[in-house]
Amino acid sequence: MKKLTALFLTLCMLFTMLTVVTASAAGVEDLPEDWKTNVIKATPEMYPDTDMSKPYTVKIYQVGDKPVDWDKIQNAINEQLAPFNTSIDTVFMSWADVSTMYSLNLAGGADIDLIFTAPWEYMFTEAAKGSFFEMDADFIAKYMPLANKYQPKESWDETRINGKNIAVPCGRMAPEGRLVAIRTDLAEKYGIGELKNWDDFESYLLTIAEKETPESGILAFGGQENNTAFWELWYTNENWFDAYFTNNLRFSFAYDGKLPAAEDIKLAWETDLFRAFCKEMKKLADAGVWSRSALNETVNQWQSFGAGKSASIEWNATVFTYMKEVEKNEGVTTAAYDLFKEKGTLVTAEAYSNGDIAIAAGCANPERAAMVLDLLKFDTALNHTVVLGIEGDHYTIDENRVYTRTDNTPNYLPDGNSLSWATRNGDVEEAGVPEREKVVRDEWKRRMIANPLTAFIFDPSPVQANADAVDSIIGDYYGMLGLGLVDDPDATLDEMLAKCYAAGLQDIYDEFYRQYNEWVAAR
Amino acid sequence: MTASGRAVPKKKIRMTGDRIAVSIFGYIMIGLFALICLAPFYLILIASFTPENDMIRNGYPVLPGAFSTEAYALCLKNPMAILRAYGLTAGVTLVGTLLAVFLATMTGYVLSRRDFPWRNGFAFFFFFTTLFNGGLVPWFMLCVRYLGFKNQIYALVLPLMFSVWNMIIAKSFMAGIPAAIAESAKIEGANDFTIYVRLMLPLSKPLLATLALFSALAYWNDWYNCMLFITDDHLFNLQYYLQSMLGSAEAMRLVAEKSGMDLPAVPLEGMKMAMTVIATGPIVLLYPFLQRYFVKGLTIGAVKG
Repeated sequence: MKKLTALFLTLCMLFTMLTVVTASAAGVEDLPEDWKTNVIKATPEMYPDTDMSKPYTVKIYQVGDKPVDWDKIQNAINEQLAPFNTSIDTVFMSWADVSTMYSLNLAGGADIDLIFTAPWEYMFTEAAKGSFFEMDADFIAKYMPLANKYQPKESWDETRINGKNIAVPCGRMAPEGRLVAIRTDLAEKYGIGELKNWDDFESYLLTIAEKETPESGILAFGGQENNTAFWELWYTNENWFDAYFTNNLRFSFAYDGKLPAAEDIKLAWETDLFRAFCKEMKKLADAGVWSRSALNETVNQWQSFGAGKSASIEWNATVFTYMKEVEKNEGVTTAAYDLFKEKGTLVTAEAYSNGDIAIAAGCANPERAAMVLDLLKFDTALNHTVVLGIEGDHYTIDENRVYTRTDNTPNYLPDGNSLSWATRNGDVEEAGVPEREKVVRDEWKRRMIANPLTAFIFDPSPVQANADAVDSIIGDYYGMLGLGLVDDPDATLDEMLAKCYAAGLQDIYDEFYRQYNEWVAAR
Repeated sequence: MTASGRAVPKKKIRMTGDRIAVSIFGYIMIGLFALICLAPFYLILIASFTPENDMIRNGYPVLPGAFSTEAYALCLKNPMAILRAYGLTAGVTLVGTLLAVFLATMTGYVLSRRDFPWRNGFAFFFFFTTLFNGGLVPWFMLCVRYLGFKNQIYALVLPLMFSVWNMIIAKSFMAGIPAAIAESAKIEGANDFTIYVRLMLPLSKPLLATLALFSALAYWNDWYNCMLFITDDHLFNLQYYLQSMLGSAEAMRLVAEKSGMDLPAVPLEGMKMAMTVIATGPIVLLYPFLQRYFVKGLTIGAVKG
């Protein structure tokens, strides 16, 4: 009897062990390949190397202001993280303070585990200071198994420096096209039809400046600061991409389907295209398309259009927001045009690295922080909580992952905070997008292409003094040239470039080409 | 008063034509100058009640036109939050001002005493900090890591509690009080602290009022320390709360642009003006009562011949 009991107990133990092994074996590798249509449910067993024996609160620093319902969202996230013996606590650095507080919090030893970052939000400057925890492939495989499986492979290149990743990018690539929107009530008044290219748009601007502005005071375009909007149109029209862009230092190249040779990458302001652009802007400025005091204008072009002060606007799909605003006025109608549709120019894809989460170098438990990031990105329920809010309260969703807003959506806008920008995967789509907007976005997707140089990261530190000097010089001239507020664009441009070379532009070129050639060779 | 004690009758100045002309001209010029000084406040007040689109289209109005209270409605959307910020700011200002005046006068008194052996050394150390400091990052690390300032109310009080400038004013003023007063009190058996509290402070009323005004202004207007050390919105002071509201409004606009939502009716320009009125209102109303002390305070620390 004793022997039978012992045998029975042994079999029970073996069965239990096998069950545990089987459950452990139901790990990441057993998850479906297509995470966009399947529900991914993470379990603690998928993180065998992460010590979850003690509770831990992961401190997340976000940029921007706290959404009204954030506390509810955080509580919902913490409920879902309970099986992992983990919770999150979030600090928001408001837009007004982020320029001071971002670096200060990292350098000053604030208690940070995860922090939002992006190339436009100090990612590379802080990485150079060693503010971020560097993740090698082994770390990612062990502590972020879902990201290791589902994160688009090409996205890792965008945050990799010296073989290690400084941040985890978002999982979505979206088209970043350019549109112009105009007042069609005014266009009809002067017999102007659909706009198909830059010449049509120029004709509209000149007509409004000549005939409408003297009568009603409505400007053809609310130009201000440096007229980057119009440069973006010109530049897009020629399939130009950026190789490096920080403040006023912009290295660009014309994309022809392959990686450019180093010498084909130039400072954007030194190109014939920019010279022609300056002359065109002078023509528009002299015709009164924008105010002569545009350089000091504090109201931006979008506010100007939305308030009915100007008759056109240029940017990405945000133009639709301002079109709705100005259409609230009686008699006002608008339309948006893709000036490059007929020509078929390429549409740049927003880089994956446009929104990232980094683990702070001072993080006390990077393994746990990595696990939380992994869960927020790829556990379907957690990801939808971060990106969309609480189902039934902030949104409803169908089986095709098409979501609809509710009355409470304004208290937690979809994709409305920096954590959602860094964790979105593009697996959800919004219902009820206006047809005019949908048509544009679908057309962009057709022509979308990723910038082949997104993964090239130029480090200006060997020539930092030169870069700062050249950046400052360009800043002094760019506004005037972009707005055409100079007597002689050629002479002014030559003067600016002469000063740039005197400040060491050639040294910057040499360093840039050196790093670029090394990067190309390493590929 | 003559040497014999009789009052001297006031001599009446005869107003000749040229004196009248000069007086009229003076009054006109000073009146114009006063209007120029008042103009910004007037413009802010008018702009705070002007609709947003009107301001974008037509700029800041000189004469009141269309009337709108939407900026104030947005600023005061959460009245409890703004009342809490007001209360916190008033409390911090009161406590901070009392401590700041106490510290400045006590330090100033000690340094004004010629029998204090190390006064030159101490004065040098105080003065040196006005010329050089460790920088923002070391200071932030000290406050956050070692002094535990994060989300603590004393983070709003301590940094502004001691001002070297106020101490120098106090030192100069108290040096002008005759030393014989302190000496005679010492002979009577008073200790240094008793002399300071019962003799020096009562004789320094103009000084106290001046230092109180300077300190109160500094505490009332402070937003920087709140930005550095406070992330809990229950501890936001008034200036930072209003600034964060403006930041939120800007963010709402940004998010609306990104998400394609209907642009919220956020009167950004009007909000800035309304916030200015809300934040400076009490100080502007209080100022006339403390004006004479401020004028006196401009010269109170001056070296007398």
